[in-house]
Amino acid sequence: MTLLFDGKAFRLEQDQDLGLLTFDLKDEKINKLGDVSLPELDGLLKDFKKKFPTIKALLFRSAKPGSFIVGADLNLVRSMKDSSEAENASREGQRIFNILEDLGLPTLAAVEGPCAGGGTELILACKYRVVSDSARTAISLPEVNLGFLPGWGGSYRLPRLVGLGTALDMILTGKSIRADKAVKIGLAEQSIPAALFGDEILKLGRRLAAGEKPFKPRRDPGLLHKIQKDQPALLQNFWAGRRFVFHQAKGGVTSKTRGNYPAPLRILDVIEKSWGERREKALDLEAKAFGELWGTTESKNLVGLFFLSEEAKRDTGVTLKSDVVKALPKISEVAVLGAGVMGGGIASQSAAKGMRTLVKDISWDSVSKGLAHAKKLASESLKRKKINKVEHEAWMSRIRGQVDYSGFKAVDLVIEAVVENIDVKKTVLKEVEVLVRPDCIIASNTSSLRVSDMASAMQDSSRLVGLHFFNPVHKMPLVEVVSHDKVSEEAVARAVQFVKDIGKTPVVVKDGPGFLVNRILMPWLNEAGYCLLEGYSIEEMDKTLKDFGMPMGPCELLDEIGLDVAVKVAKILYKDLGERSKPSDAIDRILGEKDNKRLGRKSGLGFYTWDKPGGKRVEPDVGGIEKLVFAGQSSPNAPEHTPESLVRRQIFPMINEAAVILKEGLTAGPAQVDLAMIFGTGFAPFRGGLCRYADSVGLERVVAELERLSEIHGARLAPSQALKDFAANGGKFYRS
Amino acid sequence: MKQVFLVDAIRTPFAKAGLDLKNVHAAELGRFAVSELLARTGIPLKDIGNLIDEVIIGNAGTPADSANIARVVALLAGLPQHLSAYTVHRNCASGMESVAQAALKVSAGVGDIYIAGGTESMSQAPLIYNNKAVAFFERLSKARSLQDRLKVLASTPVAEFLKPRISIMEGLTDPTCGLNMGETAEVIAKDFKISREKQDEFALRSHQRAIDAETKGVMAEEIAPYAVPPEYTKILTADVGPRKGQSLEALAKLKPFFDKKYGTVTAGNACPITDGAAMALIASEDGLEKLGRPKPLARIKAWAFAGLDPRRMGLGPVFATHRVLKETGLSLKDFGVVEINEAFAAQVMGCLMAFDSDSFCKEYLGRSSKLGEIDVGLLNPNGGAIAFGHPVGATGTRIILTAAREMKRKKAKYGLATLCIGGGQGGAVVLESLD
Repeated sequence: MTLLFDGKAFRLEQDQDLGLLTFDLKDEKINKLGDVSLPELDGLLKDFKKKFPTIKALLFRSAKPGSFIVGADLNLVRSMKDSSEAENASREGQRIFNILEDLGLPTLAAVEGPCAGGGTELILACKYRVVSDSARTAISLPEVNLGFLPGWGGSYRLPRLVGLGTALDMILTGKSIRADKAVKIGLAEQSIPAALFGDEILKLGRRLAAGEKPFKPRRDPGLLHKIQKDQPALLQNFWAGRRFVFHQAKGGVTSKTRGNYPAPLRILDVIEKSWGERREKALDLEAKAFGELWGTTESKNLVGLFFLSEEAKRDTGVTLKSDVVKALPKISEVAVLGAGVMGGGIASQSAAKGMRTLVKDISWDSVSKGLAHAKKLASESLKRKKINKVEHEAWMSRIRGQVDYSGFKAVDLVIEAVVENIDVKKTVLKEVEVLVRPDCIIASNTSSLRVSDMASAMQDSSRLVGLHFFNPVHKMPLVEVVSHDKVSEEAVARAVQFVKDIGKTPVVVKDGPGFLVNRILMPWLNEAGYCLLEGYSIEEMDKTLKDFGMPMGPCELLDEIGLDVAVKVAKILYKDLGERSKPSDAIDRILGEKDNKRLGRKSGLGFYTWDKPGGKRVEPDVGGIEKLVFAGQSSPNAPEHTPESLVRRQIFPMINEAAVILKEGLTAGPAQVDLAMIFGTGFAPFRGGLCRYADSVGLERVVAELERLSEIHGARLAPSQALKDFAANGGKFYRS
Repeated sequence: MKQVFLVDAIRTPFAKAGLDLKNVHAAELGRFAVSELLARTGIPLKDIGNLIDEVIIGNAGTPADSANIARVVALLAGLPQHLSAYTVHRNCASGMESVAQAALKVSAGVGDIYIAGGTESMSQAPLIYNNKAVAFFERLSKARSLQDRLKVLASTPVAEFLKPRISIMEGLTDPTCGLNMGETAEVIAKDFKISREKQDEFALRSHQRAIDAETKGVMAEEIAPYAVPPEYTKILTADVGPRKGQSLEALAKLKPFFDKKYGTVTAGNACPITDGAAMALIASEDGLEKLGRPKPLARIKAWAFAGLDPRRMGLGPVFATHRVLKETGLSLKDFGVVEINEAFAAQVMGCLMAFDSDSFCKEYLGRSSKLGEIDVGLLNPNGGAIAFGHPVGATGTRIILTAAREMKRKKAKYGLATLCIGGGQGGAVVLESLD
């Protein structure tokens, strides 16, 4: 083995006729394509055959254990000045990968571990690809999730390699392809056992260098097979079929994005136009689209969100030094008190992620409901192929049900999810406190009560935290970790780590009414009530706010939460926060009906009719709601308005509340608010979160609008001093 | 020799095969019982996993997908991979053999803490293709061309597939004497002239005692309520078998199953085939220390197995008990609690008569006189296998558990747990109270 080149990112060695190009970015744990690696790769590949005439084949591999190339350096992507710079960066990468494609030698990429974005585009420019069967191997083009498209030839090369249907699926969803699937769809020639990977790729490389053809040529699966199994593969060969594929994809994309995300449609457009075109033309279309999409606000916000969630992964939530936090004992056994929807969901999520979990309730009947709920979630995961049969079995075998406190000495964390009643919670916490080990963390999953109030019932409240999960637990990524005056930093740090360990995103919030997410949501839902009284229709409100980017409109959301719960929480918040949170009596009127069964989705009837309790939404019950709210009279006509004015009316009060929360120092900063709102409520990700959206409007404008609205609709809408201060002091929540 | 302690034990509810637990794999039944056993120690799994020396589990009808089912159970229960686990098979005493092996290892100082138990799903005993069908499938898989395959298909009458071997029936038949277990009970009934009525009375008492024990909450002490997979919507808190309305009239209506003409053994005075698991934690003095000094259920004082005529395997308890009495110097009247597994009413009654017979004890045990009488009031006071069933691999552990718990309630000094074993053996364990 001769060392020919040893740079900051790449090493080129020669072993007889085989060239080995090893990506090993200095001082980094992972390989990224950026301002160090790309120029170096460019220099190496230029005139390759002239410089290294004895090399007959080139093997491309990574020196990072279990990781190939995670993609382009996003800091670089973020720091680009304008669209034309982005377009140029796209063309530059395309140029280098073209050199690789045109090298005139057999090139083989050996992929083990994650290979994403630019990394995937690099291996697509190689002649052959093999993958390690390691569970870590995952190939993806996730650019769409950042609001742009693969800009280094990915949109051109992938459809030609794996077919239009499969390529669109990968590029439009950003999904990861595992080793066996990569071979199946033709993305890789072969899957090699991880233990033999290092040696086997060398053997393959040597055979390529010796002029052999170690890979079987792709077999044409035959027409019949294509019709049965792979319609897109057949369709793509005919003009009409292709039109059909794109038409279908466009329909799917439009209904999913409501036009809020420009990237998927633009990607479809590029791939459709470039299909059948020569490389130069196709890459030109790609680069232009890249520059354009990079310039969109949506993309900037999605990239920002990516960085936010990356930071959240590193954030320990406490001021303790990171090595101190690392040394804290990890939580591996959990007890959940209460096997209801929340308790069952938390237990299931914990067990799914490897925790030994016990779920305790008062009766076996309740316990069995909790276990059955967990089983349903496990089965769904199995059906969606997120887990295999063995993992499915293990998931359930980690959960135990019981009706007493036996075995509580073994657990590292107790999460109470009993009824939302402060006296019941206090009793339960008092009971459990003396049964667990002194180092056991005790958590409450309360959504509306104060953790500090519970702390008063305990002998040692330094280990009490709030862990506010959102419903449904398995879908909602956010958990609010609630601290209070008496809690220890260690307890918060261990709770934060636990939340990460079970695959959720923690945001640390100080104890207060409604914590963060519910407190910010409530002014919106209140305002929806006032709007209803003024004659705005259910359908219009929901459609407008969904078009704005919320996953649900306010009425639909109220149905989800449960009208009774919403009223209860609204009243608690009003008591604590005063005028700003004054609810309308619209929902009281709805709940006031005698023998009321109208509680929302859970009872099968709310603003909407549902096909069954807890089932699917059917249609708004306009007549029924009118009858209750307007005592049989027809509703008044809503004042003149536009969708934009309706959005301002309902969203700006949330901004007002966020300002107060930030001023009170309940959470670290606007980034935490945005993360919490996106991961806890699905607040329009492409807008970058509530604070980011507010900044894009300008806080001065928000203040002015709230002042105007408060004059018309009442003092509750008046801008808070906090918001005015933010507006006066730079006009933005974010400093940069 | 080190002292051996039965630290704790627990079992699943038992359910007649084909009923509530029919969809539950034997490994899952065992997994559940082990998880419950360990949870009761209050020690985190990651810690107790490192304290345990070995897992030994009895199982008779080996599931095809879990040849060493003990290992599968241990891993499913979340025990560490470095922990050794093996399965033992001594037919109906597999769950006693596992306890005996753990006790032997503890007493010899090999290890300090063992999980020993048994698990069985008789519901999931498979049907087996007969040899002709197996040969047919072999030939079919070797045939390459369509023509060859058609030839093979044409060569074998399809009727062959309709005569599978029923593994549960074969498993309950002794190949050396050719008798089914029920037929061995018929031999004893005839030898000792035990009438159908007496057998039915015995069976009725088993049900009545079981119902009584359940009502008083006695059985709940040894049963861990089980949310039954795969739906988890039903919770079994008690055994399924005991019948509240069981009566002599109803029992009398049943036809003899094994000997239609002269027989007396019916489905009513025999134990049903059953699903269930039982697990025990066995430890030395040092083991107790490591576990944080829990109060054990009992001390395991002695254990023994013995062989006899396979045609009269039901008398096994007499032979095995004879050996533990000799070893401990105890006599039958020292036992405040006696559990004899009720494979068949005839077989238990035959045992009682043999214990109390001078001529039998002289001829077969080489004694000068009989071993003595067992007070029927002390025998299986909470009912037995006729009422709640006999999951073959698990029963051995179950009767030790039941005897130990009953000793606590009765404040008895000594307890005896003994059973008969298909193939002509008996097993017996002597427990001593620590109270």
